[in-house]
Amino acid sequence: MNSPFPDSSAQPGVDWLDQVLREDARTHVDDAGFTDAIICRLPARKTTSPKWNRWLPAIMGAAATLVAVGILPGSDVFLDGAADLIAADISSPRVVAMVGTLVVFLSVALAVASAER
Amino acid sequence: MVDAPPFSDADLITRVVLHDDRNAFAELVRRHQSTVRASLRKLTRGDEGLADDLAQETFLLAYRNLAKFRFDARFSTWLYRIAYNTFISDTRKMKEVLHDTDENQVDIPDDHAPLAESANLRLDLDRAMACLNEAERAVIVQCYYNDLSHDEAAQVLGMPLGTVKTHVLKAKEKMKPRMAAWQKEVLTA
Repeated sequence: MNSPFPDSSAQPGVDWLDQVLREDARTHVDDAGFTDAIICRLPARKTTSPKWNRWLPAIMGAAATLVAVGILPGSDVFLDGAADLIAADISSPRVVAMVGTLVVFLSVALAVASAER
Repeated sequence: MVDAPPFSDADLITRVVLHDDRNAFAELVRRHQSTVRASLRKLTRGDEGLADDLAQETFLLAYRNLAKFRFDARFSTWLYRIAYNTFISDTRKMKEVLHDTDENQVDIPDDHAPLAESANLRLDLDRAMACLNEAERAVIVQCYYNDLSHDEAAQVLGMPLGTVKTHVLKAKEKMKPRMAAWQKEVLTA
């Protein structure tokens, strides 16, 4: 297709289409609330809790357990169970099953807790 | 005379990364929103709604990844790269245009009517740009609307430098006949 205008290369230093494009590029787009919309969509600020705060639930839980075992009636059952477990043959299938179950439960609890954190 | 901004982009980025300073990020958005939105409007062929959605996505991605910005390029160049990748990703999702081929050209009426009489300059420019394939349009947007050098445009677009130069030449060759009515006016202005 023949160009309807002379080749601009015949006019050194002048490319009229460059001028048109650069002029159009100078058009400013008004913010019109755009920035505010972005800021509203930013993720919530991270709240950093002190290190001791992370251990507080575990410490309180352990303390509450000890108090409960020492004070509540019938808590001897737990102590007897613990004593039986310690005295039992560690290689017996019953003890392995119990310890295995405990390890699984503890791992799941830790995984859930760390995922939520 | 316009005063220089009190904080450079680098200062603002540091404040955002170190202190999660939202005001600093808002200032970055204010500084660059016009160029990002304008270039996305060109890439989306004038779809302002889509362009603004993509621009929002661009700035949110920039915020999330600001700590990875290495200061080895201008912040604006980094931002344009995110904007272009966001556009490409959206285009792929929409399955509209996958590859740059001439068959993908928009059906623009080419009635050889004197364009200057039928519409204003911007409209004619948009129509002329709509005749470009995706790669050519992307190169024109980066080099003219984002004011990048060919080298920077090559980095943003992930293209070899030679390809960028070829696309610029081809794009202008395609656009000139469609903008011919404005040539005299521009040269005599």
